[in-house]
Amino acid sequence: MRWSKERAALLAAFVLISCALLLSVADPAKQFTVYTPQTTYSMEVLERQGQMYISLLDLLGPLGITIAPPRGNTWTVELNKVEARFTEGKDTAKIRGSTVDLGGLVLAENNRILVPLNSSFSVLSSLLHKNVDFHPAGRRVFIDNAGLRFTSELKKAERSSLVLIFSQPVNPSVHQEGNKSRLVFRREPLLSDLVNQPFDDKTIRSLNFSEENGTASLTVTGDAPLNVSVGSDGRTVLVQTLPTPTPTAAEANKQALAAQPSPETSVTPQASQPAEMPAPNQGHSAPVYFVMIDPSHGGSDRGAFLSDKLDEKDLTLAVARKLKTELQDRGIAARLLRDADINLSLEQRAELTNAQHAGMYIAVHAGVPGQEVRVYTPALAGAPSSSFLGESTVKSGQFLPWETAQSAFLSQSQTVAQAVIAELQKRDVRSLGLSAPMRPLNNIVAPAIAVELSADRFNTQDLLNPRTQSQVAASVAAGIAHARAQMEAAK
Amino acid sequence: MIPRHFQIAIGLLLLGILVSGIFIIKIRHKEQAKTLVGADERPVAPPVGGKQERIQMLVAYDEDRALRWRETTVFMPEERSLRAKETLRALLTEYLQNPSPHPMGKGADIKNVYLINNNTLVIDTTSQFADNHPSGILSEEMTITSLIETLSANLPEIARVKFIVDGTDRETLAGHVDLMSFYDVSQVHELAKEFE
Repeated sequence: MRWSKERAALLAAFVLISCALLLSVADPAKQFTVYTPQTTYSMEVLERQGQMYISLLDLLGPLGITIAPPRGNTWTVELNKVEARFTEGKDTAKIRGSTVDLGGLVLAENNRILVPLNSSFSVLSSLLHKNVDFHPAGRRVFIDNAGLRFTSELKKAERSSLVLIFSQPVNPSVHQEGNKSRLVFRREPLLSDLVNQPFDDKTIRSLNFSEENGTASLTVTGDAPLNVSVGSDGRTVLVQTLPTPTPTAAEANKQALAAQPSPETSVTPQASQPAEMPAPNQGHSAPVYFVMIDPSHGGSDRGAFLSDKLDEKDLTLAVARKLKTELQDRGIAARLLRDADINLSLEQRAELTNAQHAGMYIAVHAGVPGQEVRVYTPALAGAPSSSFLGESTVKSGQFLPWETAQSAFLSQSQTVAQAVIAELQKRDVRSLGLSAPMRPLNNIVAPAIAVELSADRFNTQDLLNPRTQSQVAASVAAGIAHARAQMEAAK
Repeated sequence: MIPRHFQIAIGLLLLGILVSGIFIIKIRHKEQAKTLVGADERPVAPPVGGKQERIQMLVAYDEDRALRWRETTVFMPEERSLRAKETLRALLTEYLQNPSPHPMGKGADIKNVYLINNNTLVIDTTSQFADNHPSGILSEEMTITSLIETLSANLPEIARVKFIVDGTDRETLAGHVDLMSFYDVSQVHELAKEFE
């Protein structure tokens, strides 16, 4: 029998669809996640001899631990002159001179060494001599008290809302499944003592915490599809039922017809298919222009020591709040990277700014000596000479080197800096324009500047003057508004 | 009338007190001298193996927010990486003096320098160099710029510089200026111009 072209095409389409379906229902790769106060990393979990195994290099490498090439069938691991020895085929290891039970045999495969997943607790705690918290069911391990906690508060109303407040900024991915919203935390070391918290409410029913496959999830169940939004500080997540849309005349007629008694009538959820979307853009069809204000330092990072009673971290927050108000007064949306005394690494600051697609980034600093406001543009230390002051273009979806992610925006950053300096001069505020190889400015994918208020060593109290702060905030806001208009016009 | 033997006893007692007083004062002076030697965190004198040479230094002056060229005389060894180390230490010595044009924390020093491919220099500083460095964009930038410019003036073949602290990478010097990247010396010339 000869096959027509149509038949062959149909068969090919059937095979392709079947493959896609098979792939979509396949189990996701098993993962194990390690959280430390500095970083989070995940590794693949392998099934060997009916047990879960991980690569020892994947587990210890990111912690700065080196593994020497094997001698015979023994592998030596070293950290700060502390040695550990793993021998292929043995179910124990020698760490710091003591024998540690691994609960399974050590395996060697393709020139790498595998250890049972459940031995990660004993290996890490013996080797690091730090507090290690192992969650075997969720395949998560927390080193040196790494952890992120949250509180929840239900605000009852006609449309109740659930407010989740986290101890550090978060960036969960949100999955909508009918009337459930699942917030998945892949990098954050989220911990909770609650498993299921029911609410006595008509619209929001419960909050569940779960850990699986190296991630943590919070699931909020409502009586209708829910909307999830992350606050400007990145630490507050608001969950609310979607407002009931006002029906148009045609829809009202349809609803009236549908409301007639009929055995076939059923309610279809608005979002029946699971959908994954980044939380910050929830509810927006197009990205909204906003300025990300970064009150530098915070938490244990006090920044410059300005006086006995004044740390840089407190001053930057006060000025950043004023700047936010000034921008909003000019009709420009603004968010604060932190609105409390919390720790945020430089990497987190850049990640949050880039993930939320900020239109502009302003870092607020304060320092001595000086009697002026210094406005810094990024100087890219690691960039080739041509991009030091030059500019390239960024294509959508293009990967950028982290160290020089700012290079495409240098010219726009300089436009912003010049506009801010001009506004400061208009208000008779002494100013100075400089460039500096600074983090996280170099990692920001948007026009970025740093504004540093300065004072003499013996007159740092001048920085606390609310009038000075307001004058600086107003100048910076006016400069931003001016620069934005310039850049829009250039487009 | 006080008996003679009693007068002699009091006299001897007073003499004893005087002698022990002088002894205690001497001991105290010795201890103070020892403490001062221990507290002097300036880099120790360069090795005597080299010849005395005049070198150029770009010195940071905090009060003027400026970098200015100065000359100084130091003992310079022949080997290039040692020359780089001594050049940098000469500048740090300037910063560790009291009064200092650009104060730096006690114990700031260069532990080692590693010359790679004749044009890249990795500078390993003591942990105190970063831990005790005054925090602030300007102050940190002036330190990095003056060190690299001083190095470049005396070893012009150095094209790239990287800082590590106590043998490991550090994100920033004291919370602001980048220490993760390699500095291109030609770019640092541009930064230095801003402080002229």
